[in-house]
Amino acid sequence: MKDINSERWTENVLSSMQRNKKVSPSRDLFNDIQRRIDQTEIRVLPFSQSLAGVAAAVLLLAFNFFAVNPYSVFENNPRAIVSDETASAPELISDFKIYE
Amino acid sequence: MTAITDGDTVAFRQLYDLCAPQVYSLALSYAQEEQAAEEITQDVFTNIYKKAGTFNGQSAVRTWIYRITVNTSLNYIKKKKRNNWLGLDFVKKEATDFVHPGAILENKENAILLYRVIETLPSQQKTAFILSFIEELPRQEVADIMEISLKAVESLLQRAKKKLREELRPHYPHRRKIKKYLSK
Repeated sequence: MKDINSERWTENVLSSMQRNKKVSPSRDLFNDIQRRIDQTEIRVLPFSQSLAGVAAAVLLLAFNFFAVNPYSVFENNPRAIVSDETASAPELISDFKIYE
Repeated sequence: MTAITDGDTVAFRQLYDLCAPQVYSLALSYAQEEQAAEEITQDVFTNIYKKAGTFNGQSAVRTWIYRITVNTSLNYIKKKKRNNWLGLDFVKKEATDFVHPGAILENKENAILLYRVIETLPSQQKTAFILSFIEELPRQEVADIMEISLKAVESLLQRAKKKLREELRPHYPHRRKIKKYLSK
């Protein structure tokens, strides 16, 4: 008798979640999801904007090249630059020649 | 799904309204905690929005969504277990019996026990049991969600029920204690 009761009880437990009431998440959950999507969404740039970005980068590299170029010339031929500067400001150079 | 891929939020809202209760209910059966189930639901719908373009129409949308929910829930549980093991879960909670908010009053004490013993099942058996006996989905749909044969689902359910019966056996004489706990 106890076995029959035990079996019946077990079956009742196993089927206890059948015909259960439907559950729903909280009302604000959709807004949270929306917010999360907006945060993680990667903005796809239009082609013209991407092109402008590439042009700006190229321009920046070019400016950097021209800025650094005189130093590389100096490293190759230091006299050329020094003589050039002496020609443009002789009094400045002479002031610094204190051991002459 | 095409509209969602194109970023149509109205279509996404419609899909959410249609499927959120099922997703939440399934997540609740795995996580056994309302806040965690909401987190899983959030993850599922964020993934649906991001991956709508990858839906190839080989299965029904509902099946696809259920599959994402099962995987997200199992990953959530795995991550939680790992964090517990590493001691990273700083807000440790007391292990309490889960009272499913959808359980009918007269079934509440049995439902508490059921959720307690479901935890002992391996993940495949757990999924088959939850989808079949809690979500009450047809066996063929369960097979489609799990991407296994109908025969394999039947076999998993048989093993799950056997294991659950074994786990429930020692609880039978003590069921009065649960009644007492519930009446408090």
